[in-house]
Amino acid sequence: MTSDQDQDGSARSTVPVHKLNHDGRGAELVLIFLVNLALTILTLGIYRFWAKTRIRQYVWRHTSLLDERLEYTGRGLEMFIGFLFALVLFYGPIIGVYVWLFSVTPSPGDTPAEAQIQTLLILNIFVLVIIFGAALLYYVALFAAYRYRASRTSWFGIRGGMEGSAWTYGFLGLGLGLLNVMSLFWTKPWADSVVFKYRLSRSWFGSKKFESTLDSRGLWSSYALAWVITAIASASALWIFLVVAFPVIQQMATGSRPPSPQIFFQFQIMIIALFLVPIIAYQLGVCWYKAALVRNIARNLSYDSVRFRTEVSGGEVFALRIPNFLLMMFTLGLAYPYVVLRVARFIERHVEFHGDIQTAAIEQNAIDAPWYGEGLMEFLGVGMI
Amino acid sequence: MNALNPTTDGAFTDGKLARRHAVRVSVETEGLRIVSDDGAIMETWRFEDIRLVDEVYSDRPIRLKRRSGPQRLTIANTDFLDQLRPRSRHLGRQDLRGRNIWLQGAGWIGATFAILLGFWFVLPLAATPVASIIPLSWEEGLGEAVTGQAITLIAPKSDACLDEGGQRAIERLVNRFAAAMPSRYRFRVTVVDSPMENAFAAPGGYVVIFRGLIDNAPDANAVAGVLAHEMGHVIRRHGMNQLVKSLGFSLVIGALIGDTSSFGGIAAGVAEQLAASKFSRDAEREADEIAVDMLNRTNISGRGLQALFQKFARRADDEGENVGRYFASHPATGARAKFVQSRAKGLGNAMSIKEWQAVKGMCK
Repeated sequence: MTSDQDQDGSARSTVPVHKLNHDGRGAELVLIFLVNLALTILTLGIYRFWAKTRIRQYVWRHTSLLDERLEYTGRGLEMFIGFLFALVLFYGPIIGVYVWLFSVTPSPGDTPAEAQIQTLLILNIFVLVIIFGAALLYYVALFAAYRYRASRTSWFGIRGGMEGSAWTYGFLGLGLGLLNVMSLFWTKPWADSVVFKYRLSRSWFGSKKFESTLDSRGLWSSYALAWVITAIASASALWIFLVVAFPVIQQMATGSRPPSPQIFFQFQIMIIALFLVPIIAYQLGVCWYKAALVRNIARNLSYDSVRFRTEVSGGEVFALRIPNFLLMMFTLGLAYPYVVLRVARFIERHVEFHGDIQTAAIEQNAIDAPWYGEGLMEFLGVGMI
Repeated sequence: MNALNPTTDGAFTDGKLARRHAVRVSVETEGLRIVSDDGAIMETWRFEDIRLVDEVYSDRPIRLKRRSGPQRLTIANTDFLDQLRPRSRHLGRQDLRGRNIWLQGAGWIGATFAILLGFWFVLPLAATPVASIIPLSWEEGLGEAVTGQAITLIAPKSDACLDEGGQRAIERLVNRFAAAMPSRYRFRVTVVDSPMENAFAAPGGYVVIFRGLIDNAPDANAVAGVLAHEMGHVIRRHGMNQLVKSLGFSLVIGALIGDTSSFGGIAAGVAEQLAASKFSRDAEREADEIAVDMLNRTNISGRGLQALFQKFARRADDEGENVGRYFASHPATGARAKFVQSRAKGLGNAMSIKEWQAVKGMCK
């Protein structure tokens, strides 16, 4: 073990530092990816859960700490069952309301305006409910996904685990999300630290628990950068949209002949740009905040006598995320294995474990592991690896 | 320990403590024996119980487990696997040593393209038979829902034009066509008060005509021609075929880009798709053929439809290739005008002057 040199343990400089080692290779992962791609298309997407499992197995087993490889013990079937749960949970109510809406839709030929307005009103209320429901489910899914991954990750044959309730986490996330909206997102750094602390301080590895003292100190300046950039971009996009698009809307509302397809096409592009520009601006600007958040998370995290460090800069996060996004977009997802390896190597470079990891004192984890996988997360299309 | 038996060094974890034991591993008759530093036998695994934890690549250690148990045995000497493989049939599949990754990769790329090509050709072929087994009541229910939704989407401010005289005139025309070409559908035609020059057919016999089409038509026979064309779409189930086809492609594309929410996207896109009447050229030609056939059987002149096609062809010339309205998805309107001219034989009229006046005044 590399930590054996820490005998006297008195001087600070002698605290051993361990890093992860990742030895995955592009060609091997590409082959797994190609098999996955073919089988996923052939099965109209059902194989996706087994595909994701195989990618994880590869990434986990080629990541080692203290010369011991991680192991991913999850199975495709578990994730598929989780997905079926999510399907019922999410689509059940939506399909129910749609069936009902269709059944009350007035027949063509007798469409009184009141009935249409009523239908539209119900539809709008329904959309509102869906937005809140989806936000709640997003956080429930996030927690469930982390718990599943923790319980299926083992090292030295010892499992991880998470305690706590996914629904509590869901309502916590939803409440803080609403607070963010009401504060024009100025409370986000605080909300993020509360949410991360909740999850991290309920995480276990084996018989010992992680502790987190995370707070939002030091996050605000980098967050302000992201906020201001996004605000400027949104305002500019809205202004250009109003100037360019307003005459088109006027023409559409009053003209007997619909606008020409070219103008209509431009109009559609403008609408897309109106939403896309702020998102792009935020994604560019938020890298420094994300770096600060990750640094804070690591500094405030402990496991037994082990401390963590992830000294990563905003520029480094930028250099990870933006090329990853562009690679995925311009290759229509074919760069996926390469992007996965970039993330794995980024983690390998930046995550540090400070202190003597007393593995011999860690016993097997006793927390009940969920028997089904993170279907909801997969369902909502979040989470890359 | 028999010195002749193959042995190697390994690392063993028992699944109870996060602690690695240096062990000596040997192949014995009863199984794989794991012996600790001090010579004590820790475990003996029967060969048929041994499984590989990971895929095996030639230059990285192999990891073994005992069925689904928590114990793990890591062996750095990959060649040791050759001693175990003849003794167990479970160890071959994940053994990737000596496989040509590039050759295999090329094979799977080929397989992916073959599967995609298969879908590309099979889906359109499968659409018609799949659409034909859908019961009439489903088709009618879908058509009703789609028509209602499409009217709200396309012309939210417009109401159906319910003038009795106009409705009767259109009904009489529809009945003439339906009698001339019997089908399983009961046709329901709605005129909506919208300035667009448009008309569309939903599955199950639902046809929607926009006021703009009637206002700008040269005569009643032109509207009759468009109506016959839309009825042709219904009879040939073009809407249903299109729906099945786009559902199939959405599934494939969804699988390809890993987007499961496309299931929801399809539902939203259906009404729009049908309303935009994006049928293929073949479907349009089929509908034109039926329209001309219907006009001939009812002895209605095709001149009106021909004039309408010529008008749109001229407009297409004026405004560039695509016109953002009814005939936008129908390229080569000029050729279609010629088709009507060469095949239409009818001489009579679709409606009396009084009826046509009533239809023109339906929305007032």
